[in-house]
Amino acid sequence: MNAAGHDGPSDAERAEALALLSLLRDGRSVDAQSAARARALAASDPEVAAMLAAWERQAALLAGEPGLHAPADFTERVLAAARPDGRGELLTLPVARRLALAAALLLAVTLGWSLARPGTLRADPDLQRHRHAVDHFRATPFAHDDILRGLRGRVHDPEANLPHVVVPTGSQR
Amino acid sequence: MRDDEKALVARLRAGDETAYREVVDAYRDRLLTVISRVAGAGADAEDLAQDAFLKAFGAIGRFDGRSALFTWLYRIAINTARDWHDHRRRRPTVPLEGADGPLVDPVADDAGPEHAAIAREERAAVRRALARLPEPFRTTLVLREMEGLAYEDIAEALDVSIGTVESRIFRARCKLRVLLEEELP
Repeated sequence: MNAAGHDGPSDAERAEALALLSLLRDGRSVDAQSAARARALAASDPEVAAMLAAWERQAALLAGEPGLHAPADFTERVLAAARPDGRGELLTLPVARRLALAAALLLAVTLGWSLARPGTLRADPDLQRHRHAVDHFRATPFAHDDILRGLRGRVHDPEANLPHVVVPTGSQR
Repeated sequence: MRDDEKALVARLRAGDETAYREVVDAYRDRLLTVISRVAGAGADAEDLAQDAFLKAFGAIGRFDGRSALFTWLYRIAINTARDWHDHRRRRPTVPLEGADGPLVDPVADDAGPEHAAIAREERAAVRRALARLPEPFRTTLVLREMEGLAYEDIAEALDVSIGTVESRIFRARCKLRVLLEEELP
């Protein structure tokens, strides 16, 4: 008689036994006393026995499901997808190499931009301060010499509204 | 992690393409299979498996070696399949779990046409029942009963405790029994 006053095990007892039997089925360790109790219940209780039989059946069905096989060209497809353009290096460059590549690109762009600016502009500190204006005018139809003349005149013109430019006075010249 | 696996991981981190080839060749069938089982019918398992490999290659620098490489790959594959599955559930215009569709063509049965027909029906029924099994029970049971993973590996792959795996497998077995009886009276 179980705790509820009925013959046979209670639902809670069955559930506890089945939880242990699930572990035992997979070779998990369960303390010997609990394992013996669960096995005894499986041998004596038709509901527990039916559940175990159902587990066996469904496990066999699941295990019998055949697996998939990748097509012959699968590996090549994955490796090709790992390359940005299908020819270059794998996307998975190590971190150090990625950082080095990024630094090299940044340096190349900076140097290229700097060298592309005419040397006459780089040599003049005042004009250098206005390099952004120079870069702006370089994108216009103005001739190179016109831009230089205009900027030099503006930098050395005391009337020009250039508050951050120190305009040399006559005594300083 | 075994020494040979450590060496393989080092080669992967160094960008050695032959190492990537080794990994794909070694695990492509297993990843393809587990993805198809977790994502369910209707998924393009090949695309998802490719995606999983690319994610793994991209993240190899973050692989800490505390688990086996294949467990780590499984985790990425499972997450890829689950993401796809969740995305599809949010978009109901895509056909629901096509449990009638076999994962692969069933193997021919030599025991006669009647036996083959019953076996086919049972296989179809278990697929339908499995498809109806809610997450996370389905993935956990797939990893145990179909992939044969140990509890420890399942816990690693799903990032849960061993106790959670034990509980999920037990409950999944009980739920699947009910579903299978409905599918296969």
